[in-house]
Amino acid sequence: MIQASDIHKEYRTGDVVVHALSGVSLTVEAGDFVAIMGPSGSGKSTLMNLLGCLDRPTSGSYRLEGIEVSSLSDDELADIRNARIGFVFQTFNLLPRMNALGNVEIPLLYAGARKRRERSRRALETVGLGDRVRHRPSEMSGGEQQRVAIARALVNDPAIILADEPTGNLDTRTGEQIVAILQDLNRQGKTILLVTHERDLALHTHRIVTFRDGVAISEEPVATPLDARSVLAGSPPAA
Amino acid sequence: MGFLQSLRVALSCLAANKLRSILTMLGVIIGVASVISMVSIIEGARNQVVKQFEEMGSRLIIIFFSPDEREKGEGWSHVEFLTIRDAEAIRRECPLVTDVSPELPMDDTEFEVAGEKFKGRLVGCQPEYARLHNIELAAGRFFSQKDYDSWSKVCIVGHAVAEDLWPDEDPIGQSLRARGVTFTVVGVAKRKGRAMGQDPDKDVCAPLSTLQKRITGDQRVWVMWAQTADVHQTEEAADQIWALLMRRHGNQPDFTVDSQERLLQAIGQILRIFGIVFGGVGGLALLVGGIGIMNIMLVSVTERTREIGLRKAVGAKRRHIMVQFLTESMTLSGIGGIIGVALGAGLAWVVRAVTKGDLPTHVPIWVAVGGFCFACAVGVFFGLYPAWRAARLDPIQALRYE
Repeated sequence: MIQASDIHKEYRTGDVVVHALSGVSLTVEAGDFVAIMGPSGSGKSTLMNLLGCLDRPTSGSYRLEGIEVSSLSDDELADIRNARIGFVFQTFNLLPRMNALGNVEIPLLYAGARKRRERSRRALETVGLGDRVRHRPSEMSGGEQQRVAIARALVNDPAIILADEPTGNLDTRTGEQIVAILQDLNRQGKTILLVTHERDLALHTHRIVTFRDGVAISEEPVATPLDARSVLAGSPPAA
Repeated sequence: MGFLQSLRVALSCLAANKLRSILTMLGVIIGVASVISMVSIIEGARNQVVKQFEEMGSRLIIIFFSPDEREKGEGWSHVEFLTIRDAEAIRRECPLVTDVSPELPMDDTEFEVAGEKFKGRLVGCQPEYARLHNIELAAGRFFSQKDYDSWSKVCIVGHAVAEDLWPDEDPIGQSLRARGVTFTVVGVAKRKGRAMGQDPDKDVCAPLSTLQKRITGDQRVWVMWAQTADVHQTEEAADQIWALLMRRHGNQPDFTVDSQERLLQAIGQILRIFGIVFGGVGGLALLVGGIGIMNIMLVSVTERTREIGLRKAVGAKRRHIMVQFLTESMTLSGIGGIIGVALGAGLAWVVRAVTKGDLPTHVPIWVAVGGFCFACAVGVFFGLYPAWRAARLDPIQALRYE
């Protein structure tokens, strides 16, 4: 699914060259659930931008479903993001003027897809918001907003979901609910990359890759991943 | 993403900032409205002039006494006026001319009947006047050649004069005093309506011979109208008259000879200049409106940086973003254009209502459509730079923008 080998990324600010990534290699098989951890400045966000086809590596090869994407044009990258990648952001990034349905529909607009309403509604039902389609972001809780964002990531049926600190703006319990949804999706076959700096959250995945100073310093499999639904059942609901 | 979706997004964005959108549109509205109303007024004036000329008949030639500045400077004694004898010469020597009417109009003449006063125009003329100016009589008769030859103190009163001075009586046979002469009314003209800045309904016509004998004491006339049998002969006849008068006036061009066609062209020229000037003022307002749109679109791009980043992240290409913002600026100016066209047409309507038909303003469909299209074009032109700025934003930085 994802084959990144020896990826370098350099930023130039004035005369200073910053090495954000120095030779990172990562392979993710279809159906995998990988956590990417590391302190700020470790290069994990840069890697996510590259894996999400928002940026190109300075050098190295990145193959996504067999396609070498490191040399594609902006428009070709936009098509790949549209069709194969679903983004979930820490800050949700919903458009305030539109209701849930309108927000979820956006990727389908750029895909030129048919039956957009129907597909968007189904995506919202998948994340348990079938009764909130007409609500605007301002009328929803943080958890609901993030679920709308997940529905938006899902709607065009991508191969990979990239979740960048998806629980960072949520309380623990709501965060756990979001992870539960991600686990459900993974069980249905979606490949998921989860960027986080909370080890508790990372333990819900199959594998944890830790970054420091632009290189992957460790990679450990999670023998028995936590199940978010059991965690939720075990802890009392928030007051 | 099709145009309709872009339009929907644009409308929702504009609706989200109603006051701002309306203020931005104002420049375009004022620009388009001023262009539309100016063009409609000028078009109305043109139509009115053409209509009046057509009513008068296009076989007419007008000869004005018009000394140039140099001659005036040398004193009036030097100037040869147009006289009755000029009219007689035209009659005699210009075979293409069928009628000549020498006239002595006396503006602001007070007509007095038993203490009642009425201000109008006393016109000294010959019997041909009635035929040349299509004067039809409601009662009585026009004065005859015999009246003319004997300097009779008779007159024909216009419709408005008769209504005002003798509201309840038959004007025929009544006396009317003007410029120290008492005239007897022998005819009442039918209503004609205003034309070319004159109101023939306030005219009183009397024999030119009578006026010259009893009021002015000389042979001068101020204006002569001539007519040909065929519309195609008017230009040639005008040239003949010009040549004849030049000969008679010692090669001093102290008169003008104009055919209707030439006058129409001259008026058209003047109206065109007005059109360019006023159109230019409206264009300037549109330009300022366009700059306003550009300004607000730049603000909009900055405000929606994260939205642009998100749209790009989920698959929008540069051209999608470009089209979206261009649609928005075009919608802004297009709506402004529609309102401007409506406002301009409304102003034109008000002008027509206020001037009571003297200025029958008219908004041609091409001006309305053109105004709207030009407004849209202004939106696209001034939206290009902001849209380009939006389209080339880097998605990563745009998503991180606070």
